[in-house]
This record gives sequence, structure tokens and C-alpha cells, in this order.
Amino acid sequence: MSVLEGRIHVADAVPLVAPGDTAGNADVARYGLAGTFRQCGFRVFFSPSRTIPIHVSVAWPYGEWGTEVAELFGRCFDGTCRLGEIRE
Amino acid sequence: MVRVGLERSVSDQIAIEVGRDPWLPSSDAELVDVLHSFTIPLVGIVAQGGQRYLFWCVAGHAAPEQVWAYGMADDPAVDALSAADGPESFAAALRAAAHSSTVFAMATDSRGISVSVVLDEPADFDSVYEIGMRAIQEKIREANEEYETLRRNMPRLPSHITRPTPRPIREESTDR
Repeated sequence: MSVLEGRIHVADAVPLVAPGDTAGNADVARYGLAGTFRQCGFRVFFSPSRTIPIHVSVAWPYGEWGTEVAELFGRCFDGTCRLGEIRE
Repeated sequence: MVRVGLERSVSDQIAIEVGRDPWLPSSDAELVDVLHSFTIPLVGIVAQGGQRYLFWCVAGHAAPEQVWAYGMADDPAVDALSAADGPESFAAALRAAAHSSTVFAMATDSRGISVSVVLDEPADFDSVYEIGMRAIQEKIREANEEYETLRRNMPRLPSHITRPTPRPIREESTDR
């Protein structure tokens, strides 16, 4: 899963993800700490690309990225995840 | 589009199959190059029937629903995209390369491409969203009208079309 490094404003994120576009009314950004993702079992690493120099990848190293992992990933942004809840 | 056996003729319009990933929109398509990605490929080149096409996500880049455009990939424009050395130059190159999209499609993460339309006239970067969405709206309206006509002749048909079973959630990859 792709994310961006830093607490950047949505207006700065949109042109990176959607080249040629500017932020519109429906665009939003959510923020999470790399440490939270790591404590929940995700692997977080820098993976800059030509088009997104601040590109970061979040991987699940314990198998398939299914619905349960997707929900955990989402909850890492708002802090409602329980650390290590799926890994064990 | 003329089909001869399993071979497609060369066309300026890519042929789309419902249920396919937008970056690999038919069984005989080949993903040639991914030029920009964010979890999934968002801009790239796909080959089909001896022709190369530029595909690009028009809206929904980081969302579970997206709309996509396809047009012929002419070499100088693709070269400029490949040579872009940063976000700004890539954006400028994309705006130039996406000057004549001929096919527009809607897709979701769970079901792949759900509907596509061939545009009456090629659309450029700025106009393709409005033109494409209008064309899709018209196609859906026509399909609904045809279904209602069919239902009048076949009263046992349900009043609402049952949605197909969703595909498994796409496998998330860290190298895209």
C-alpha cells in the first residue's frame, strides 16, 4: 500500500498522486505514525519513485492483504488499532 | 473493433473487457510499462493487437473507485513521459501525452472495470472527465431503457438487476 512521507497538506499531496491535478473539494488526507503501523505488524519502508520522491510503502509480511488487514491498516490512522492484534 | 479469431485488428480504440484490471483491460493485453503508480499502476503503456495505448487514471487515484482513459501512445509523447525527472515535468508530459483519449472506463477495486465507452471524439486531458462521464451516463441510461423494455415483455424479470459477486480484494503489493 502506498503512502506519503510527512504531514503534508492535501494540496501538496494531490499533485504527487494525481499528476496534472490540483486538490478539489472531495480530496482528503489522513495521517498516521510509522511506529503505529510497525507495532501492528506492518512493514514500513521508503520507496521513492521518479514521480513521487516521498513515496513510502506499507506491506503486510504475514500473508495475504485481506479484509482484516485492510481494516487494521485503516485503524492505524486513527489510533483505534490494538497493537499486534492480527499477528498473533 | 474487428475480431479475427483471437487476434484483434490494429485500432485507435483499445478493446475493454468487463471485470479486468484497468491496467490490463483484456485477456490479450500486455502491460508494457508502468510510468506512475500509487499502490496500483496509475499511468502506463499497455499493448493490444500490435498497438500500444496510454492508460491513465483520471479520478479516484487513491480511492476504491476510479475512472480511466485510454488513447493511442505516440512515441514522442511516451518518450517525454519516460524522460520526466520529477513530479512537475511528469505532470506536464502527461497533460501533453493524454491529448486524445478515445476510450473511458469506470472501475472498482473489488470488481475491476464495470463499464466502458468509446468516445464520439477524442478528448484531451482537461475535457476527458466531463465528456467520459457524460458518455457513461448515457450508456447506463440506454441500458436501463432496454432492460425496462425487456421487462415489459418478460414480466418475470426482476425490477432491479442483481449485482454480480464481487471479486476478492486486490492483492496489495509494495512494489507498485
